[in-house]
Amino acid sequence: MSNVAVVAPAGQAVRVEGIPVGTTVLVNGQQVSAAQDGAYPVPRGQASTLQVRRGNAILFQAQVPALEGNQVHNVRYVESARYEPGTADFVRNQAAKGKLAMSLFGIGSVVGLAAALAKLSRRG
Amino acid sequence: MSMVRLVPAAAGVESDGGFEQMFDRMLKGFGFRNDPLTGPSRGVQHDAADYAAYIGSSLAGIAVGFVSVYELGKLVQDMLRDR
Repeated sequence: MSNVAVVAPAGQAVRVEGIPVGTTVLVNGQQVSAAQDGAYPVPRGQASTLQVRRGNAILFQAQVPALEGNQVHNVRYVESARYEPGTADFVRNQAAKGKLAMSLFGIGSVVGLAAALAKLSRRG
Repeated sequence: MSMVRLVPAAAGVESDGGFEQMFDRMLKGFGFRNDPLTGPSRGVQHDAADYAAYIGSSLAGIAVGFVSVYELGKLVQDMLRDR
């Protein structure tokens, strides 16, 4: 008698290559666990958002297209940390960017000032 | 008998560690380098819109600096010429 094991199809999933240890994976905002093959399940027939987080920090985000049946979508992890709006890190990030923009404005105005003085001296 | 104790002024000379530290502090003050005391934990994250804003900010600074100084200079020169 042969043993036939019926394995239920794994369903549509996304596999993340290079995902670091100690991170959590969220699909459409819900934390999911990896299946035995290391792929994360995604809803059938609809596009999904995949996030890799460590604590509050979003390390990586990707869009997963709508998948059917046993399709598996492969995504390569590339760390591009984003700060979640409302966190202290996000506020500090915005403040730092504002500071840089104002500094560039000031440096630009000094350059403009020098150009204006040069033109005025030629004007006599 | 009251005791009055004179304490010499604790004049301290801050050692800034040389030119490199000063330059590093200046860059942090301007925002060109992440300041760990005030910046976010994983460094400043920029995206494409931010770079466009930085370029726009620089050009706006150049325009404002040039126009304001040039117009003021023209005014002063004309006033001196007509005096």
